[in-house]
Amino acid sequence: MSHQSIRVALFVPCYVDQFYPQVGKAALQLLEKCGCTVDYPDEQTCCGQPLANSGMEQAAKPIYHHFVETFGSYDYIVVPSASCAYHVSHHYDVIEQTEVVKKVRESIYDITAFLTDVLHIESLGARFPHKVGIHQSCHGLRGLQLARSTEQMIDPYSKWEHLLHMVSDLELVQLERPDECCGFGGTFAVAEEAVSAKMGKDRVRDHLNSGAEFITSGDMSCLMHMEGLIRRNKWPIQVKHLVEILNTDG
Amino acid sequence: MESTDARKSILESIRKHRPESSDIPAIPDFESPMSNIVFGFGEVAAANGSKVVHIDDPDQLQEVIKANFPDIGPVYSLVDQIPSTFQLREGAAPVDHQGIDLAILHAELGVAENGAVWVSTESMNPRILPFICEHLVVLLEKSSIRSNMHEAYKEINLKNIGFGVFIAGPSKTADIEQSLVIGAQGARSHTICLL
Amino acid sequence: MGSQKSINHAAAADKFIANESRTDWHNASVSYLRKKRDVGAALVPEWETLRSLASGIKNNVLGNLDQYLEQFEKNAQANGVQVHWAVDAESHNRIVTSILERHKVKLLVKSKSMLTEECHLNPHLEARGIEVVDTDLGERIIQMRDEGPSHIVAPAIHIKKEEVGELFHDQLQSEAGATDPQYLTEVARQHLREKFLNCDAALTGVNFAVAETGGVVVCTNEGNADMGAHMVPLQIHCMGIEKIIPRQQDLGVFLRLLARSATGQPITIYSSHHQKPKEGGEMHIVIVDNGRSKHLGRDTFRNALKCIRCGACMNSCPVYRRSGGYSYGYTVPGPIGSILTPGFNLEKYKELPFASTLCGACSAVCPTKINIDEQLYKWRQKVYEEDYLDKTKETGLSVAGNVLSSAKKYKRASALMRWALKWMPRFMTHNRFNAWAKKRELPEVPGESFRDWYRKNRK
Ligand code: SF4
Repeated sequence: MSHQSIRVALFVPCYVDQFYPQVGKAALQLLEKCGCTVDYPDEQTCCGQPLANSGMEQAAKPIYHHFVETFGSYDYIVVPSASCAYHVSHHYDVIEQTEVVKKVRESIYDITAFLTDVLHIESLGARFPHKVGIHQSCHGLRGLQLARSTEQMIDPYSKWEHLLHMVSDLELVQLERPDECCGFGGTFAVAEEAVSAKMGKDRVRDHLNSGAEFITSGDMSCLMHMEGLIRRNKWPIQVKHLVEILNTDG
Repeated sequence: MESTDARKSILESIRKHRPESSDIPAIPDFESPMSNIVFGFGEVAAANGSKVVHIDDPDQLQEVIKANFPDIGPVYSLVDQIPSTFQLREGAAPVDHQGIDLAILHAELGVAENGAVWVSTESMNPRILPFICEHLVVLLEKSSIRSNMHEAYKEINLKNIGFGVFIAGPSKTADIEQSLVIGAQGARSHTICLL
Repeated sequence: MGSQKSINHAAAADKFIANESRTDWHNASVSYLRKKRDVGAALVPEWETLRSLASGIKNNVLGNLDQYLEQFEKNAQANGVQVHWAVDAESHNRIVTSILERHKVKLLVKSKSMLTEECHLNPHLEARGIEVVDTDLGERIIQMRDEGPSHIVAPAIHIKKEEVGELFHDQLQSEAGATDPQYLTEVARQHLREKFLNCDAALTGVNFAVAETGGVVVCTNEGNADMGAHMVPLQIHCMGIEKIIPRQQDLGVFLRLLARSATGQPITIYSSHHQKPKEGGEMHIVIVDNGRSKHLGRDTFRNALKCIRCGACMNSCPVYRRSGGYSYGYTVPGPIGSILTPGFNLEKYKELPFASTLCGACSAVCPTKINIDEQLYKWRQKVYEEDYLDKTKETGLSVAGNVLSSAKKYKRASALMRWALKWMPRFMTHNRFNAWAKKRELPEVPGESFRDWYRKNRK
């Protein structure tokens, strides 16, 4: 597992920075464990998705430019959020497609895909002796195609499962609806509060019914939403970002 | 005239707004996943709620009818082996076919992938027949079974017919709480005699 | 285009969800359709190829629609069919009325047609003394309840069997308290048979119109469209301009996809190909634009015209399943409705593109590969551009936009900038309406952000 030559920039999404610093730390340590040289550019802010998903792509453009400026010099930009990676790669098409913009759009990776497709990780040395349910975040699943969704009539695969299978003593549970959305959806979470909360509740219930002790996901925003419900209702289940599990000691 | 003006303005609007044309894809042949399409046809048809009966000779039709419809009422048959017992007046209208208990007709094609049979005005008159009857029996030759819809359409020339229909089972509905109910508006049962 | 009052999806959804057990029931019945679709589609090894073919054929149609319509008309006329053109809903209704009046029609039987729902044909005809009976069981149920469809394939999917029992007891004198679907369907069969035998004309929607043959294809499970169309001399088929497909062989692709996508059935029970009028009869086809040709001009959104109305996107939509069809305020609800309606009236339907988490299940399931979630995203941008966005939302997020584009401001540790720093991640969770906290705890703010930790430990 030596990828010393690989220099990556770590992008820590704004809400992870503020609410879930341990996820940023785990991502950093995990990448270093895998032999990467990791930079955390101090100028970074946000990818602009919250604005754009609310219809304010125009207002988000300065953020896009700032992002490109901050990360333009790196070969790989790695983010522990499929949603942010999806946004940068798919929705930065509305600013002028200069060489550096194109490069940033191509070099941004969700950390899952980076581990499987760039580093080709085959073992981790992690141990997590618990029953775990995967929450396949929609932007990871259908946006970045990190796994096969139930809509697709192709051979099943899952980059998330591939990585979690490397964690010893971890038991993956079977969900009734493996790829139902959790109802976070950014501003949707408040604009459509009733549907959002109901979707989240149904999602957590599926994990509870499956006997999971933890819900894991490559997107902390989904987990933040479900955690809000879990804590309010005192349900016996916890959330953990995928990198927190992958970064455990064996 | 309203429609003539409308035609012009719709077509003009389309010409103004249409995107650049792209090529129309060629439809390839698809191999059937079934090892035996006659057997496969029967399985799918049965899953659709059809009854499939195998016969070796058209003369066995009589027995099949007797066995499957012991107390049948008026029969309207377009098949030589079975006489019609339903009385129709001269110049009867479609409504006059109300009261047919059993209609028997030739199916021109069968489609293995979906268990449907094709009947058209080439072999059926009036058009209301397979719908208005209480029970429907079709006679289908095994050699007329095609693996999928693409193959079936290769055998059909819509330009030559007035009306044609793929029938894939008895009339059904699931409009009340998704519960499957057989016998909605059309025939209550659908029997395929495979020859 | 109806009332200008905008549709409030969130409020309607809130009301729907207030009855949680009914919401669960609705979610489960709609999901059941989707589950059956998965089973049905999985049996076709070339499923994804068929989707690509369907998408490619429809793309070709959009680029040549004028020619295909002309070809269709020519071939239909050669078949003895009378073809009519209607620019909008009103002219569609006028054309249908004049045909019916010419034949002194008193009772019209109609099979499911989203187009005539869109045009509000029924009230138009009823006002002129023509009785219209919808003959699809689900449609008949909602017609008797004086409601519109809540789903394009299963229009009465929101109604419980007990409610159907009561309705039939009241209006069709069925047994009181009956709830057995078998019995209730039989009651409807007898009632509708009576209508079929006494009608003067039949009208159907159109699933596909084939340019090459000049004929139309109508798909049903009940056989109701055929019971009408073949019963009387006068048959009318109404279609939107986008129903055209070029060749007979294209039917193979679309019929393989349609029913499987809708309900998982390998094909509908009846796939009827109407080519020529019956002996001594008349066959009319009414081709309707009603905003479609204009929509064709919208680069980003024209793909919505590739829709074959299978309903798979709504069956797959986690929001539709929990908010019900009526929350969309339009005949075609769910994801496809949310990208069609803003094209008709942005002011009225500006909320619908936001009634989605952008989960993308709709696009992934769509048999003609319409990029529904991308269009939802793009409509959101349009709503902002056209200045329809809720002003408070805009102001709040624009402030964030300025803050985030400048790292200096984002980083400064003054009390004010600390607020700004914390604001973006909190824009949803800690906003002043506090919608987040109604049913959810706020995320806890740890003592130290990642950035602070990194500076302290790694720099
Ligand atoms: S948009 Fe696609 S999935 Fe939705 S109804 Fe139309 S064809 Fe079906």
